[in-house]
Amino acid sequence: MKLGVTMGIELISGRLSWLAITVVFSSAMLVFLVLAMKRIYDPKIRRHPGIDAIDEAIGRAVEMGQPVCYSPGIAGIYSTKYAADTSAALTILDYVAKKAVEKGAPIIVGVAPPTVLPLAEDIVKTAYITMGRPEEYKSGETVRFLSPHQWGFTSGYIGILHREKPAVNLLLGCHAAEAMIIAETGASVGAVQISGTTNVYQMPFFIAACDYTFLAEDEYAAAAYLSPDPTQRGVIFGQDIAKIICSILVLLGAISATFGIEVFKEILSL
Amino acid sequence: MVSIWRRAAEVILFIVAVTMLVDFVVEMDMLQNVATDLNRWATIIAAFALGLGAYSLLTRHIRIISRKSEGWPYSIAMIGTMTVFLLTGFITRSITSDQYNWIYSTIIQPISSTMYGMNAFFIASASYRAFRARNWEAALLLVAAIFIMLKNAPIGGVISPTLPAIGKVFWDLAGATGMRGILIGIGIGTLALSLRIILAQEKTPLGGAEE
Amino acid sequence: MRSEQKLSLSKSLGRAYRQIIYLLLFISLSIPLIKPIGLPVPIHETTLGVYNTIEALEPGDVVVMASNIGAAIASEVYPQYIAVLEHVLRKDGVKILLVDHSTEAPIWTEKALEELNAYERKSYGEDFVHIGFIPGGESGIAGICRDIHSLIQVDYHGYSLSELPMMAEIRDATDFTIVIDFSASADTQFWLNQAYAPYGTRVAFGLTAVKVPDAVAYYTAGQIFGIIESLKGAAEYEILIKRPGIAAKGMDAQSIAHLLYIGLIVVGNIIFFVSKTQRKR
Repeated sequence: MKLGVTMGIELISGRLSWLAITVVFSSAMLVFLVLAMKRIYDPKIRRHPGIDAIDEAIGRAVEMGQPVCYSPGIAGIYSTKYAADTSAALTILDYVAKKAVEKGAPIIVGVAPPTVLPLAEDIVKTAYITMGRPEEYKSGETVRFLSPHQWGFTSGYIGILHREKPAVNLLLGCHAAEAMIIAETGASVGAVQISGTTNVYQMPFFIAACDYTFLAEDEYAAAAYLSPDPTQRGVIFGQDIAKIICSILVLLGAISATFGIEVFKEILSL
Repeated sequence: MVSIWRRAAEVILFIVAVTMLVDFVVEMDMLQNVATDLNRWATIIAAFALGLGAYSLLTRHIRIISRKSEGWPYSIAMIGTMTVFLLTGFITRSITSDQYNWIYSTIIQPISSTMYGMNAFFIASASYRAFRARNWEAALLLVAAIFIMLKNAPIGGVISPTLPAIGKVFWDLAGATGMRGILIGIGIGTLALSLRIILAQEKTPLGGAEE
Repeated sequence: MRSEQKLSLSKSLGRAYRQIIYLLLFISLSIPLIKPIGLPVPIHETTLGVYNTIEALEPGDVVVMASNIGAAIASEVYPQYIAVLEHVLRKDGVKILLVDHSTEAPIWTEKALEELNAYERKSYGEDFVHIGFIPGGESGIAGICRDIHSLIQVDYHGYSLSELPMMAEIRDATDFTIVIDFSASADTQFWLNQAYAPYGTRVAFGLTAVKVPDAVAYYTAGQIFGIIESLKGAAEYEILIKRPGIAAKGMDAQSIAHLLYIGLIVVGNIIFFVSKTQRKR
């Protein structure tokens, strides 16, 4: 299992290629993160059509006098697979909360993981204060902690949808099996629904049941566009570089494997 | 004071992350022992997160009851159920006791199964309401979905062996390949977030949405 | 008058379409469960992969059965778990390590062991050990794969691991022959990350239907040796081990429900195109 000994350090075989790829990808992201942080280069990300859909939906909520419902998902901020999803959902919540408060639409946020609750409360409360309406924020009512259990959260959230009859239902972040139930309930109460998740198992349900869906990394890109932090945009740009490198590797690997050339397989097995 | 704690947390996070990364690649006994300990600590801390959920629920529902907000009788029911479950575990000194299992199998299991089973009904209404061939891409998606459904259910093979075979082609060629592309993108996104957290550029895990 | 009545009836039906659909689905699921049709169940290669691998196990091999079963997914995944556990219990000399990744999973694991009379058929501590719930998600799995004895000192029943004869020879993932993870969440990837990638331990999954597309990518790449796909996979496995159970009984209902979904899609699209044509006129 040992690849070799270098300066008294033994590298484990099968992990050198992993290390090389991680270093290359991380370097690409790091370079643009630092450039963005120092305001040397702030990459331009195109405005996602979904953001226009959010603006229109909030306008609809104002006209109808109905609230905006928002769910940032059921994954915690420390989840190994979906932390990025939750982080993007919270960034978009910041935008939605400010927009809704500015235009005068009430917002209700349903939270599942207890680790997300203080962050969501902070974001929404700050939005009310920033927009000069601190008295409209109701502690425990505007941001509602429903349940850390998936189905407890689902029951609570669909209860909110049935009682409050929102004009807009935003489902961003990691949603699991409850995605279809919540989305269909939202459709039954007549809400315009905008969703986004990197949970690939639930994307088909969102695409079917919602009016607009951010697919996978679209959510990250939208969050980066809306975030005032330029480092997010820098990292998105670095991610695109990493994806280009990945695509080249896949293409070269596929061509070489087709012709029976094993060199890529051997290099990636180092 | 907050700033010092934040800085300390950032430094600890960086050191721990680098330790685990290096341990993954390098064979070194001392490093392996440290990484194993860090792993154990992470497991213990994760166990405490369960308690955090219970605490958050209790505080919220006690507040609802004290203010007699809308739905406060349900909050009493929730706290009552939680208390009964906790006490049963403490009194029987076991989560494997018959009493504990009885509460689980008569209350939690049917409710959770019912909620999950509702998916079938909602998918049915969505099939009628939303699966429309508005354009050729949607039509292609519908056709693929129908063949895959016939592949998954035994009835497809009974009607004709060709139907599940076509479904398998859609499944292997379009489903698996598309999934790989999405998984690569999501994996790179997760790496990006990890990098931002390790370099203290992502504030949310350290308890602050804004500085 | 008659056209007004007809209009209001169609309007009423249009508004109550959800209730009608739910009623149709309830009927289509209930009738085959009460009166089975007996449709044949074809066996897929993904299920055969798991079956053949377990069939080829030899005395001394260690099978890790990891479970994330909860009440919600139990209807899909528990029949798979029971079928595979029964198969492994039939293999003489094969050691079974039962690990749980959710708070509810230990209850289901014990339920399965009692249902299959495992405590009477085999010797606890020598033939199988139930570790119990390991918190921490991926870090918990990493700990098990790295050094199980440093992570856990006692098993689910409170016995010290050092007292259990089977655990004397099991330290880390290199001692596991195969891992089969029963889950509906991202936890299955954790076993790939922590057992297969670093140690080369062979992994298979038992999954709910919605997670299968993700797993197929790993299967076609050769990173996992099999997938038990939802209730269908459980039915196939029950037939393979010649122990038909609740999964096999549910296949008829699943088939009829699938036909109903296809019918609803077709009817919905017909109505959509007809109303589109009428609007154009």
